[in-house]
Amino acid sequence: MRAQLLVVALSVLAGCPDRSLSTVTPTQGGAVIKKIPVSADIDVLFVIDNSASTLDKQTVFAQNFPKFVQALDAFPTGRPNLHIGVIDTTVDIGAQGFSSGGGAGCPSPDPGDNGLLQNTARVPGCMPPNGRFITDIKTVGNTRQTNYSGTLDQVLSCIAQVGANGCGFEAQLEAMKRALDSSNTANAGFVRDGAYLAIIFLTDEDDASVKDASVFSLADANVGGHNDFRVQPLFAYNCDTPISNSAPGTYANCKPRTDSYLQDPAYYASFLSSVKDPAQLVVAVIAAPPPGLMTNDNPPQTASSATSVSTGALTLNNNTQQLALLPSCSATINGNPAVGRPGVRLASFLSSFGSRGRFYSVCQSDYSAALTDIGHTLFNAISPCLEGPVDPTDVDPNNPGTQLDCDVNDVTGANTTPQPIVRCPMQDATTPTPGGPRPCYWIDKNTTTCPSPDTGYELNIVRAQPPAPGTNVDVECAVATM
Amino acid sequence: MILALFVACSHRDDLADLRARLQANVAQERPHVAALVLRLAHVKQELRGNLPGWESELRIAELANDELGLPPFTQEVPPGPSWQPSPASLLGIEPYVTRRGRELHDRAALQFLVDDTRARYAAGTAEVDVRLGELEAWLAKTRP
Repeated sequence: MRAQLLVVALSVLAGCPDRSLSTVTPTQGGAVIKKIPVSADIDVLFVIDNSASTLDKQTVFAQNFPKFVQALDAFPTGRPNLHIGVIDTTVDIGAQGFSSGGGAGCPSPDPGDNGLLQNTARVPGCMPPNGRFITDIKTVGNTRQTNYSGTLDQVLSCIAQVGANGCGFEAQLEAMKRALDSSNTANAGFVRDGAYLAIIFLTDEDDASVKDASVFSLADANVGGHNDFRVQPLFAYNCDTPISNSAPGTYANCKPRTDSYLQDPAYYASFLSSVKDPAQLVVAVIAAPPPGLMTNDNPPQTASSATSVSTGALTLNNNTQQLALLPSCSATINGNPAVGRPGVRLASFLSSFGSRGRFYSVCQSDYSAALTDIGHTLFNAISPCLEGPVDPTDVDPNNPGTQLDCDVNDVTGANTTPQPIVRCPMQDATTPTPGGPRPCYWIDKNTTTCPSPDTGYELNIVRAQPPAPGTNVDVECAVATM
Repeated sequence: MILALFVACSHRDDLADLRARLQANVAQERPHVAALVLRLAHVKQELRGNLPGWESELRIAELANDELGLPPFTQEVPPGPSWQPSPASLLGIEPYVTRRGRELHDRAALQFLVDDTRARYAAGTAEVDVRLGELEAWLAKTRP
């Protein structure tokens, strides 16, 4: 009989696979809070550097896509409902003189880049998605509705090796904004209401998104030459001493400069928050670590100098660029020596996203660990696992199982009243009593679904009928007193 | 039974034929790509010593270099033994399609690979040729 009841309970759960708790953002007034999406919908935007000499990094990145897909497929509810898009880091800089012809370099206008989702087949014989972005959605009966043939990692690899003919003024953040701000009508439908949004950057230089295009018209002699020194680092950073436009130097305590030609990275963090509830955002940057940053790699990586960035002469094919921002890391990638320049602005942008902002070093021969970790971060974001210092006290010993001090509500849309979900009366620790109130929730200790460093507590919702699309389950649990 | 055997054998012949065409195309393009590599090496030798306007021209050389699929243009050391050209580049086409051709057992997919490979070689070599022509003209004009 008990087994039958369990089957019934599981059937009810299986019929309503939209269990979603989101983010337990650490303690607010003695509670941990998490927003869990009922449906595991994730929109993933890859922002990939297409400036010169990035091919080796792209090649390795593409080779690692199967790891990312594996991490998504390892979600307890299976592969999430996905939209995956790819953009490059080239935007219309609003100035002439930096194009290399044939749409390469920094053309202005630039309708082929500029935040447009890229769906060109880059590899011989591969088939791109039928549309601007990849869709892979679970349908009734556990089949998938997709707009591509072959496997997910194959189609991603097909479109994500964006080449190296782009602009040397990489505008990772502005490209992201233009991809998401509706200025590219071709990107319509990529971002879904209610879905989580993950943004993954792959780049070997810092962001150089400008707000004043006159920086490109400044006399070359005053800005270190006809190259990217004017944006990386000349007008990009405020350091203990001003960055020289004529002599090499070492600069400590550099922060993004906000009173000059470049856009404040915080502007882009604010923009993202206007697109998506921050509790539904995951942002990952694979770039060169700036001084003072410990990356999320295992083991963590740091910049070659712990405190400063440096400028100096750079020899390029026996030509001398008098001034360049010098690398902060180096590695052998795809068998070649490779470097990365410190991502000071990218790290500043990322700091707005707390534990959902992840930084990995681009200077490594294999990005599979980073992509796997990004997958785990996404899982933690949407999983029904409670995070943080949850109070384990059983507040209702007469009800079998784990009865924590939690408030649980269905929330559909920003302006609707939360609908309380009651605790399930339990037949035993993992079986809600049949015929009890619906919807109801119960919590069990499940370290398989919610392994360390999670608390191990998994939230389960039993429903009589599926909730409205876009519903989130907001959970607020008391924290343990020390 | 005989009909089934006939169909199976002709399918196999079909695939073998397509693979042979793929390899023939690769072999046909190999000297063209090699010639472009040589021209780029010559440009690399000449584009030295801070000639006036070298920064813009270096960028064009990098484009030609990356489209060919060579190690970074400004890299002074040869690549290590594990280096592979990007499959999205001209030099990367041959190893990629050779492997992919062996993996594919679907006639339509293999036919598409054959056609796509031919188109990529045509477009890629033409583009690199234009860039190298531009660089060569600039060098002829600028060299002391």
